[in-house]
Amino acid sequence: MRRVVVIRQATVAAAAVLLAGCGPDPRDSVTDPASPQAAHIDALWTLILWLGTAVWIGVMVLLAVPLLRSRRRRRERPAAHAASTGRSDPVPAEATPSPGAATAPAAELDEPLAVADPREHLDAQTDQRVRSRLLWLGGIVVPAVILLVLLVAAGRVGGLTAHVERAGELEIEVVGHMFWWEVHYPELGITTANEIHVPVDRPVRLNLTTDDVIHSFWIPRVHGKIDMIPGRENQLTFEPTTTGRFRGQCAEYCGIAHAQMVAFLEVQEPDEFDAWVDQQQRDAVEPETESQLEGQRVFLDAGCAACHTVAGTEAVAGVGPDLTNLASRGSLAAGIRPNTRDDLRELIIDPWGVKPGNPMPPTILDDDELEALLDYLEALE
Amino acid sequence: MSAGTGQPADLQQLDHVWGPRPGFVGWLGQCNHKAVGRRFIFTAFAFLLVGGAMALLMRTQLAVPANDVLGPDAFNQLFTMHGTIMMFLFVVPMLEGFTIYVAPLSLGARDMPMPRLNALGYWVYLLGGLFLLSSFLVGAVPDSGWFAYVPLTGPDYSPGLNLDFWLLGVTMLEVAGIVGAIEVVTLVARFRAPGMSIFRMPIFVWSGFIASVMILFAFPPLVAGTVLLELDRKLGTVFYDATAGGDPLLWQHLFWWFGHPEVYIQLIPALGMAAAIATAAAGRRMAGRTAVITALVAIGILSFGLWVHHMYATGIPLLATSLFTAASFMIAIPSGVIVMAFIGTMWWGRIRWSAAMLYVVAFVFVFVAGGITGVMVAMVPFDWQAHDTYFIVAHFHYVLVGGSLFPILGALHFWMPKLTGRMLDERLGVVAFALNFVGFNLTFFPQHALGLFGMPRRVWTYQEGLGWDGLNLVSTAGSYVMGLGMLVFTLALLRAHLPGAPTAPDDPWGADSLEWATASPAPNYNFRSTIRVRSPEPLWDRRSTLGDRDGPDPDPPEWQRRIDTAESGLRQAVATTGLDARPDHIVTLPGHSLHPLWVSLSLAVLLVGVLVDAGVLAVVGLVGLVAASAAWLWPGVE
Repeated sequence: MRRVVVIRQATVAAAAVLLAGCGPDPRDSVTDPASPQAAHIDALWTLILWLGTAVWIGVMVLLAVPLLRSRRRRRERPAAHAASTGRSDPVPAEATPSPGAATAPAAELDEPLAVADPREHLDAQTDQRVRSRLLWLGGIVVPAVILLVLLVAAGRVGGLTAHVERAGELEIEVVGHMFWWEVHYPELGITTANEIHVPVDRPVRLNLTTDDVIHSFWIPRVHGKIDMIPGRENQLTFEPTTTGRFRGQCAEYCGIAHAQMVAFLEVQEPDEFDAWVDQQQRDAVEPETESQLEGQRVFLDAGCAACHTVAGTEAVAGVGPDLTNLASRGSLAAGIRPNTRDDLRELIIDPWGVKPGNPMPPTILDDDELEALLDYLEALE
Repeated sequence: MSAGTGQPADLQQLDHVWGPRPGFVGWLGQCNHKAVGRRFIFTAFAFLLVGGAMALLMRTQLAVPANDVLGPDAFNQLFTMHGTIMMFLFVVPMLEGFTIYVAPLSLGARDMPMPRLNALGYWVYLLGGLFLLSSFLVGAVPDSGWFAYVPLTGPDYSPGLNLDFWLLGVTMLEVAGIVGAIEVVTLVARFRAPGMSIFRMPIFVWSGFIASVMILFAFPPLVAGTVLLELDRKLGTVFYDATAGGDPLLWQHLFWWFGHPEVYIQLIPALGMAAAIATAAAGRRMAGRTAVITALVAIGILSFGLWVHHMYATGIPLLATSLFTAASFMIAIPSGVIVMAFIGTMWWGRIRWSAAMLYVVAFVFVFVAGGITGVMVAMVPFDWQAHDTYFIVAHFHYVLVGGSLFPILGALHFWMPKLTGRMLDERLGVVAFALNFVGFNLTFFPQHALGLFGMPRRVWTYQEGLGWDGLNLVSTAGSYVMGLGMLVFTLALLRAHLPGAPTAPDDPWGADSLEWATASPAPNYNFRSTIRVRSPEPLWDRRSTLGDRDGPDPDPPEWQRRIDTAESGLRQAVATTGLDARPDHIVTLPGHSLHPLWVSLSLAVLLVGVLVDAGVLAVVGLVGLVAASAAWLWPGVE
């Protein structure tokens, strides 16, 4: 009795853990598409999930039947079972299978059917026909039919989701860096980082390249991933149909901070997008307060300008992300921190603590300089 | 048993001729397939425990979001070494070890055709493994993943010694694999007992043979690839450097041309093991024996046409990748035949349950699921979503644990009596099985969902609030259960070898193949007299002449009498013809030799010299290598 209770408690605990696992909705799931491309792939997933589950259950039933039957048989014929385990039982000569094909090896492909206990020989012969039916139907015919269906489905979805040039598409260049994403809008003259703004219901084409190693660009809710490979340019086309802020991570291992290379796709209503474009096309906001002016001086003198650009100032370097509109972004350090004053302060003085492997060095500033710099950066809308 | 020529005095002579020399040097110089096979198996098992411990560390780090048990450096090193150890140091050597130990016995041979080469394979494997692990001592552990994509692994982005350890170590392991494969192919071609035509070979030997042929075609491209990368790193060539006209995709093609067949090299011999266990447990021939062998051959060939399905996301045009979808689908057909054959065998046999047979059932259960997700990721558009996520991690663990690890654990139960003369404890075995099976599914099933929820593989940390927390916790809990299962399994293994543990009978399973016709553990000379095989199941047909069980042949031909009495004092064996195994000629095999050890040590010194850029050391190693090889090949020596 106690054992039953323990088992029941264990089952309840396991179920609770599983429920906890399934509880909160995932933030960005492949099964929650926000574009026709992702929707086609999701439909394919639904098809293969059900077909695959059906096939697996079918095979498991085939597996379970003999296991149960074998138990029953063993109960029914304990004598035969004992004979087949031990070898003490002398076998009558007439039960030995005929040595017909003994001298012709090639003829012995499957005949005569060999068994450990010769008394089961006849029994075994009667299985032959069903056995070959199982192999033919279960092993070849049924899988072949299913696979043909899936081949057609995969080809069709592939055709619907692969990159094709479309009229009126918004072209964006995304460049992978260790460990952030550089974003250009060549037609709009905008450069930003890690957050890609696009209008809803308009085809978008991403031209993907890399500045260093292989990265892979992936926003699960709008499309599958595609690699950024040195010496090549890959394209990804999709048409977002839902507004929202969609998250994605670098999918190809790219070095120490691979886990902390996040991109956001911000799908906006067309008027919001236009307002954003307007804001981004302007040069950086001029510092107004004394503290902001001091902050700009710190920015230009303390080494920040060696790597970063702020349009309209002397800072024009392209090693790190463009900071012209830093304050308009929702996140910092390639999408791993919210864009708050505290996080920004931590990123400046301890970049390797925020993101181990970050190429950005720590900047040594006294408190006044640091606060002034933050005032300046926070004004860069 | 003692009639005819098989007097105890003859047996003593036979044992003396085939036995190792006394003392430590004799132990070191053993070349016999049983010594080498056992060494492979137990070394590989030790590496399995090391690789498994690494997995537990990684799962601990990922148990909760923003965990800090491990930093990114340690985590990246661990997943790289976990994959490398499991692939190159555990599965392949374990399967080769079983093939080396069991196949000659199953074929009725006295030894492998080139025993010293066999020993060389082991020493190179051992030193290659230690070489790789020694990177932990100097703190330069490889950290770029087990497929080491360029340019991350090139001179610009991995300037340290980390990748040199990986490239040189893996090259050594590849050499060991190729050496073993040459050995197995030769064994199967020429060392079968008289009468064991090619179609009478046991399925396990067939599977080892197919995997060995695959190794011969799959490993050299990786050796080429790693040598090119090492040249890029050490000598400044630009094979993979896109800025100088090279191409990073060249590495991916070379790597996956090896890497995809590699998956099947790990699967096919394990299928053979499962077939051997199922046949014995069911007490009848594998259903569709010929179909199974044909399917294994088909998988072996088809597996060379699939490598691009690891590269769907690289921007290769859809039409080209779709062809690889079709090719990948094709491999599901022979796999389906094999699964159905297992089910058929269980269906019509009377299963005698054992821990080994439980692993076979678990193999069908898990492997079918892995095969189905394999069909899913073979579809280009779905793979664009699933590629490089935890969905893939779950998929290949289902395939490799279900298709490789579980059959291997079953095989350890099944052949341990023959390997060491001890039975593993069944009760402990069943407990270990239950923990492994439940733990495995608990670990990896949730990972399918994690992948679809956007979690990429190879991340050392993740943020809270992405919906990944609970599933990761379940997965970690499952991995601890499986870790416990492996611990119990190891205890069973140790317990069986404590003094006083019961010894195993010759044929504990009532099995069909020849290794069970001799004593447990197999004697030095394998079989008292030359075996004559008359069917694919020589222990069941009651017509084959079995060396030990039926006593020696009463009226052997002269050549056979000479071999069976070892009157010349040499290790002599009969080589047979390739297809129908007619006696062809007598070969004399070497016994004790230290040359393989010297060759391997020189190779290791050479590679360490290359590693640390110490020209003198490299030259010493090279000279040693040439000298040891010359001594080995010198006529009349040893």
